[in-house]
Amino acid sequence: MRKPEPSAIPVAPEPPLAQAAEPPAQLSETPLVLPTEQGAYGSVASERSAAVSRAMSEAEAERTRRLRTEPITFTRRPGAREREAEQTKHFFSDARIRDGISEAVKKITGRLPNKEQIEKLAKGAGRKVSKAKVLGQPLPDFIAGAVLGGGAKQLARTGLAIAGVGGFGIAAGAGAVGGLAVEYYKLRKTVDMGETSETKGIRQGLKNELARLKAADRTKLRNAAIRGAISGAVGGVVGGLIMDHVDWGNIVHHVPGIGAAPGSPDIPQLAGAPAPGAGEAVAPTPSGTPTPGAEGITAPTPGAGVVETMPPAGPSTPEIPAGVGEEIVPAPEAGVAEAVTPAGPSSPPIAEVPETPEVESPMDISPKELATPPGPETIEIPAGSNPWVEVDKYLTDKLGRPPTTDEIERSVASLLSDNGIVDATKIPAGTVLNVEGVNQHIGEILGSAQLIPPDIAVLSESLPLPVNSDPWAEVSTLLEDLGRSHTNPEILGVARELCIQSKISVPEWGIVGDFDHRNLPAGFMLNFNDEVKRKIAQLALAS
Amino acid sequence: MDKRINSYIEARVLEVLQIPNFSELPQEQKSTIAEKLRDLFNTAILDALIDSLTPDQLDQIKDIPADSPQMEDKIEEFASQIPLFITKIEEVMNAKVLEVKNNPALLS
Repeated sequence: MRKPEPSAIPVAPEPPLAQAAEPPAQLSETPLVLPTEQGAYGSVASERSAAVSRAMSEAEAERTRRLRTEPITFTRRPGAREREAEQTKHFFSDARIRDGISEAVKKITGRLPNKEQIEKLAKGAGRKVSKAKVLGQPLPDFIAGAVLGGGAKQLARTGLAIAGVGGFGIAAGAGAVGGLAVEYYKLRKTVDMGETSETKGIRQGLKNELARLKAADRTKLRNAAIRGAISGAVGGVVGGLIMDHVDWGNIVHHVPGIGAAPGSPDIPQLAGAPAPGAGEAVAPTPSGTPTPGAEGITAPTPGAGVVETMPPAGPSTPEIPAGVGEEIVPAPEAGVAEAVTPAGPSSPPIAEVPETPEVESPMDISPKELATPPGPETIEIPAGSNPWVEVDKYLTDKLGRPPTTDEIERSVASLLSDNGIVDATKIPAGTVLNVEGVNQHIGEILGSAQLIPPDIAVLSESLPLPVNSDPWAEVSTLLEDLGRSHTNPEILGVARELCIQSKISVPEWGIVGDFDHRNLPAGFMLNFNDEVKRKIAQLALAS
Repeated sequence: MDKRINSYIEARVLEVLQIPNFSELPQEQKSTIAEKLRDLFNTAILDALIDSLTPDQLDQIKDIPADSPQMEDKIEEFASQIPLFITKIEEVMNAKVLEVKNNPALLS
């Protein structure tokens, strides 16, 4: 990704130089004489005209002097997406979110990160979230508003959701990755099968009760469910990021499979479910206050099927604020420190979070902004039409092909949101709508900046190759876990990309790399970066 | 955030209204169909949530009045704890849209 040359970006009309716009001194000093008769008025007007001419000449001279001596700077009017990207930055700067990240790291590694590591993780989280989409829209679009009014609850909720993903991250790193949700729902199904008739009755009773509510109340609850789901999605994405940054040799998750081992934990303890307390009654935590819900979680350990409990981050463990800016210290209780650092005290306390090149930051300048084609700012909804039809036409015109349903849906949702339309079926004929958001979607499509759905975005970017496995087998298993279609040509498409990104040489596929695919050692790190994830995202869900 | 959520639902409503069975209907009938669709989508999402709750979570909300702010808060809290629930919501919505497109009589 390249940062734009300033001149390549559309700029707002430069306001006239402030000095030129101000009334010149001479003008203000000219006495204002009220006309008493026509002749007198003409005389005064003539004098004023001369004074104005003199002032303008001097202002022009001043302007010329400034242009010669001072550098010209262009001010770009920020677009909606840029503003949201900026708000997303602030979102991840919030103490509640950072507390959540801190807790999640502690649950995964057994140690609290220091201030610098939190800072890097938060920045990385912002980047990662910016690439994810939910409900067909960029995830930042949903969370950006939380930074402004009324978002305290959302921030606190998301912080707790992040804190609760410690187990999630462990599962993601264990190779089951995208199968996590599948496993969760499998287990839920198992629970359902063993569910008592009383619980079944409560479940059905609740459904019936909600069904009897007024439409407006049901809509409120629907929105609450989706808001919560989005907080959880942010938590999941950040959990995956944390896994990307921990040292594989130093933590306890080197075991394939997640909590489905014999004696597996019940649902709340299952990887992916927040630790007890996460998401509980949300009162915004004051800055620097430890996040509640820091109880211990169970996690797979190197022993097959053995479940070990990490200690809770209780009062006896360093609180997050205390750890900020200090070296990471092992949790003083229970043998977690030993479990997570088999190499002993000389081993690094926690992996350093790699620096991401600043130029890669979509938070600074969004690729969507760069790829946005010029287009009209508005479209009109004629009589008998609706936003879907008009967006369909507009996209067809701009893309030079019929858009997909998904492309229309995303653009329509953006159009409605940007224009504050509540009921899409009741738009008066002749309404003119702003299409800035639609133009940005077109930019995304043309720029191939395809966003990644959350079940794929959470995948760890580096996965170790298990014993007696190979990239093909890993891709096949992964697609199956994700519930995606995985015919041989589809596996091949993803496996090829994986080998390219992991620098694995496969002459049969025409791929030249640094590592021979026939001699890959167990533990070789496969690179499931965004290129590979986009390949996976292109595959349909298996029926 | 609610504005964006609402826009997503409205976009799905419009998507269904484009099918031949509905696109030629008078505006008034379209509005009626739209209301039914919104209700269908709300039910699908809330049912998916309730189906995903643990027995303990069910116990926590069974006695809370359904139209109270406490219920709204609990639903948001629990939804944030279900792994990838947002993906589940999208799946449920896609399934409902497809179901109605294939069988428009469901809304009559």
